Amino acid sequence: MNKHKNKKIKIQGLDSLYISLTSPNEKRRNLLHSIKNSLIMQDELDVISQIRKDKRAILNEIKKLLSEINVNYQNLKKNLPDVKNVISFTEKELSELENEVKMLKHTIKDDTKIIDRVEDAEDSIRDGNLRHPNRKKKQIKEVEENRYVPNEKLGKPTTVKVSEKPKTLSKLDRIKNNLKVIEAKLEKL
Amino acid sequence: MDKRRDIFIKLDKIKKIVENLTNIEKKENELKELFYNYDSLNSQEGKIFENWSFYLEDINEKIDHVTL
Repeated sequence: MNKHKNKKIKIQGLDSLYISLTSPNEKRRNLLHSIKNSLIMQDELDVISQIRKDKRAILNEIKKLLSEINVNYQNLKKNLPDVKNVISFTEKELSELENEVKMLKHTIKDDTKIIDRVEDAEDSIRDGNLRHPNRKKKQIKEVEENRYVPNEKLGKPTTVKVSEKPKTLSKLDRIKNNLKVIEAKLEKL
Repeated sequence: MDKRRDIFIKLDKIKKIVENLTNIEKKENELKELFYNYDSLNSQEGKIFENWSFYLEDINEKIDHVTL
């Protein structure tokens, strides 16, 4: 009887301690697979840490290069001329020069007219042709109105012949020279 | 009439400017390469993380089968 009791106790004890596994091989395989996967992940973790190191190094290089490029750009800016307001200034200068040229052209026209008239008057005086005294007076008046010709000299025809011509011509030359200078400036611009 | 004007700007230090520009070009090419490398590393990292997600799913499945 005692032996029987002991056996029962032992079986009950076994029942409480051990639980039977259904398809243990499959479970073992599954466990091994999951362990294998985790090991692969661990291996790849090293790869990731290496990649991150490389990325950090590349970022540092990029930063360095960017700062160098910045310095180069600053140098370039220093070497380039300052052209912030060049266009507006040149436009202003050009318009001023154009106005000057227009004025000079206008005065040249007036001067050539006056010169022609004076030459006509001189010719008529030379020829002794005083048929149109009124016309001559008109001419002299017109010349007197001009600021470049002195009034006294135009009043006496004999003096006009000698002194008038070179003065008006020199003025014309001067204007022409001015025109040339302005045109040269315009070309430069 | 529409007036068109060409404005020319004189460059005094043309040699230095050219030198600077060539330097900048070289460095910009290097930068391009570095960015390209960085991008490839990034994609590599992304692929590894994708693989990780598959591994983790697999592990989860297998551990579910292991439960008693």
